[in-house]
Amino acid sequence: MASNAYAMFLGCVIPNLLPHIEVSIRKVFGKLDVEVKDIEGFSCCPEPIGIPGLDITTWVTLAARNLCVAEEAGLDIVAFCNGCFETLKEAKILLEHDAKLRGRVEEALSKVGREYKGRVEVKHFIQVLYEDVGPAKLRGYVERPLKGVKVAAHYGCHLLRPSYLLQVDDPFNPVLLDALVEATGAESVDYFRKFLCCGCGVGNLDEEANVKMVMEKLHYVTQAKADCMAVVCPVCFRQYDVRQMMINKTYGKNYNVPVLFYTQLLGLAMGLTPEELELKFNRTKVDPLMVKLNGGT
Amino acid sequence: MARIGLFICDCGGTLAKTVNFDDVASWAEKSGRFAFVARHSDLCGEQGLRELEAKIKEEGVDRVVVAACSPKVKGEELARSVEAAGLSRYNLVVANIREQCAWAHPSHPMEATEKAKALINAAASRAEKLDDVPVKSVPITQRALVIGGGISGITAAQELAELGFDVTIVERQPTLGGLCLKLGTVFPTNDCSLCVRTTACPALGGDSTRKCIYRSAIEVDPRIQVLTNAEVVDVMGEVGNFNVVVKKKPRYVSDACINCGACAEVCPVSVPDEFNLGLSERKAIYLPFPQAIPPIYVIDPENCKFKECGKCVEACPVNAINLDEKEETLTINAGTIIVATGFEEYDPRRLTEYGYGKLPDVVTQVDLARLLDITGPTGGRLLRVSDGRPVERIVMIQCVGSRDENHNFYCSNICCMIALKHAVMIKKRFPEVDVVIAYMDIRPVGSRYEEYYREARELGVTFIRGKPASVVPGENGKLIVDVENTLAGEYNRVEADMVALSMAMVPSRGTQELARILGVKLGPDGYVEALDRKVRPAETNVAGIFVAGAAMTPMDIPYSITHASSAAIMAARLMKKGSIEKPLLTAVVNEDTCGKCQVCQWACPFNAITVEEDKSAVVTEAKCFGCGLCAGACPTESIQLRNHTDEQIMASIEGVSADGVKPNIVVIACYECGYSAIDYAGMLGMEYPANVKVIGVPCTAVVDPQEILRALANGVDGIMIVGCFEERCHFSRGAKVAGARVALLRAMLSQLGVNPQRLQMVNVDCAEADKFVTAAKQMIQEVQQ
Repeated sequence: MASNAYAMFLGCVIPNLLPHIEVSIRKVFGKLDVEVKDIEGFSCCPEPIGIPGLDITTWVTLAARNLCVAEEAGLDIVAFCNGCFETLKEAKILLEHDAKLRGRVEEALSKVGREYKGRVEVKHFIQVLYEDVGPAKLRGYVERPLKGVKVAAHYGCHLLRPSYLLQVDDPFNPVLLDALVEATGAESVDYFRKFLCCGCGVGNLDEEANVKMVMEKLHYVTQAKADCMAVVCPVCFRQYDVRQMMINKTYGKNYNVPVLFYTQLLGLAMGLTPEELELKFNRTKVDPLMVKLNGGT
Repeated sequence: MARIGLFICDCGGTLAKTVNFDDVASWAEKSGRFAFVARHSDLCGEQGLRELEAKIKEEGVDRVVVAACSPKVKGEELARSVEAAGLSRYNLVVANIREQCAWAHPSHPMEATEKAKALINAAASRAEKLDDVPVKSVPITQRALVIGGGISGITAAQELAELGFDVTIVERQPTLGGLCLKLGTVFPTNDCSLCVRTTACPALGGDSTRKCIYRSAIEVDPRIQVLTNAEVVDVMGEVGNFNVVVKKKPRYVSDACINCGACAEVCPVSVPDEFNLGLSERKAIYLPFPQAIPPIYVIDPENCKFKECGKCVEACPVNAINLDEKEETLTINAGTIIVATGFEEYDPRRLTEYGYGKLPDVVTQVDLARLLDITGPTGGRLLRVSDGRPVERIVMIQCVGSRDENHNFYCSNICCMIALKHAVMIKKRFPEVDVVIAYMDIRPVGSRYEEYYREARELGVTFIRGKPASVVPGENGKLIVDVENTLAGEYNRVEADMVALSMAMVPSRGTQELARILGVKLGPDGYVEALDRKVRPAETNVAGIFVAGAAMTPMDIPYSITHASSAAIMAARLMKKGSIEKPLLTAVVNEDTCGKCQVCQWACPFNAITVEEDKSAVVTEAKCFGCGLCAGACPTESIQLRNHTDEQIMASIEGVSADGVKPNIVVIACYECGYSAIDYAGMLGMEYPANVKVIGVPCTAVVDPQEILRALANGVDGIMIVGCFEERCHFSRGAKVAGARVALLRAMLSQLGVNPQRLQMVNVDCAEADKFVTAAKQMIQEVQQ
């Protein structure tokens, strides 16, 4: 399906735990020439680590149900979370290539009165921004270029991998998010461990390892003298934003890296104020970034 | 009208148990096809062969049919006798009435006898249609052109010069030496890498086992023309007569140069020296390194100020500098070409996780060799590149970019040895330095190489079995290497001052383009593919072009020298003949019917056919292997293989079918594995029904679909094509093409309502007699359904 309207798939974490990010999404997309519609009936995607680990058919069935909902509305899906993106896109591909799986899924779906026809495209919101809008046009929306701001872009894992299925960008040398960051006028800095996972999946088994991964990332982001991080997934966001304070307290660290969801960053560049973007709800204070933006150091 | 003489041999009378020779002889005489019918019991013995010769001369026949054992057994002796009798050996046809008749059907003497007649009949039909085979004499230029002046190129050149040939070496860099120049000391002898074998052109003193390249006088050897700063840009012609176009970049300094260095002293431009990792400086006019051969300075055109400056011109005491020198193009005529372009390190920047290029203390093993070299930028001391502090710990990472599905699939052969060599060197020179090697496997292969590993262990080198995930900066300018120690089952975070990456080795830049110019086939890894990887490692698919050294596969110095000598012998052997006398059992084009579609050009695995726009196909006979892939592929049957034309093959098919036996199964077998497997069945006494008759062809791909369909429509009940396994076809991909053709035809037959089992392809190894016999018996059942 092709149109300039998409079904907005927010997932679970954003609406339930990060309403301020939802605000930034709605306000930013409200200004762009891309329509994202609220659709009744979406459920949890479901998440792409534990559920398929237990039973692939269940995972794909629940995902397919979401795809059906979008199909019935006649819209393609834009996902705002890496995990939702991977789940929905991978489910679609598996259904195309595994006839037996498709049979099982269609049988289960028929019991709830749904029929999967396979015509829904699944995109991540940064794909929509890059492909439908494009960095050049985005620059046109920027009223307050983030000049001098150094951003450490974090792609996350489920956006890019498995690369042969998701085919979003080169998994070793991606450029999408960096281009979008630079469209705001900021500089996307190179830093070590740029492609290190945020560790959320690891945390379910080994909290200590998880924390080490978060600290490693924050260490190198700090070393690169970045003014903030930009993420495109609410789970990555929580890892770096919410936990930063806790890590500082528990481990005696002094990290001070504001973490922005990309739409928050773009929103600032588009001229929205921190109040309009509800940035006060970011756990790691964004004050240092605002100071930099306002001409301070 | 051909006059055919027939000789029938009963192999010491033993075949008469099965085949009734009186019956056969009588039939042959009555057929009127033969000028005479001579019977014998020992045709292949000395006396028999003399009698054969005498009879041919006496009767004045111009074609000979011998019904006896397999042509693979005594074919050569018979051919020589036929030649001695004054005929061409290509006027002889052998009917195989032993391995493929009497020995294969011992329980069915009547059928075997009828089959013998059919085979002789077919041989006569073929003999009638044989063409004369002209012999082309191609004179061979007595010069070899060696592309690449590294250790392999130099060795091949020296060997060929010794053997009396002229040689031209074309080297892209301003000096000879290749990769060896940077390696410092090398294994297995722990001495200098700049060694070559002694030439018999002694500049100083007599013979020795080896000489430094700069003392070898190679650049003034009258038999060897050395072109440096030069590249091959085009090649025309064929084996024996290649015209190679070489572009020579200007050096701006002539060979009047006396290597005094006055020019460099006054040159105002200083740039980082790439030879020393950019850690030292050189001038814009420079000698790449002290022992450079030729010992002539060269100007770096990117950085020289040319006429704006001109100080070097004034300073030069012998007027050797000419800033106006232009690029030169020359054409060199050579009889053979040797590709000796070698290999280089895979770009370490592609493995972003190790930080090469971002972290100055991450180096490659070749970089490390320079650092450890006494003539290197640190005088051989092991110092950190970033700040010059002494290295306290160095971590080496093995298999970087090798054995890796994301980069290069193969093992690069030499990296384990290089790492061990460096590890031992470091421990011996700087015992206080901690050396850690993170590896997947350690592979010191061959006699006296394992000792390096043992010595490394004894000197206290730490080995961690694991592939590091990343190299990142740590505190105080140190590097952190994260690695899973799989033997200890723990995660190691190793702090290091320097990390040396053992990079994968890949074919030198420009190999693909050169292969395209030469028409040489590259393997899946980009290395030059040997004509046969088992028995012909120094030859390529193009006649007259050979490969020496690491251009073929990563290899160390001793193997490069061995391989290069092998290539030199191959080239010498060819050139020594003076001319190529080639019997033209090659492809022939009918220009009237040629549609200029180019299918034959692409079908040929040996680059022997050219079809220029709007012109008929032209076969370069010297390169043609006589396989017939082109003939089988031609949609208008315009290109035919001499003496295996469609007409001749059809004549053989009709010939064996004339006995009227049903079902009539015709086997078309390639003379490589196919025919051999069928002979083997006879040798083992494996019986199969006599209605299976065999015709031999050079390669199964010569049979075109039109012939197959004609045969099936005209009295042949089943056609079985027997060839080699696809990956082992002796003509590169003939078996694969034939297989695809058969599959397509079977689908067509099904659609036309014809039983597709009437056409089958069987792939065999030459010893798989059982496979053939089973398939033959099965086919007889299947065609009758």
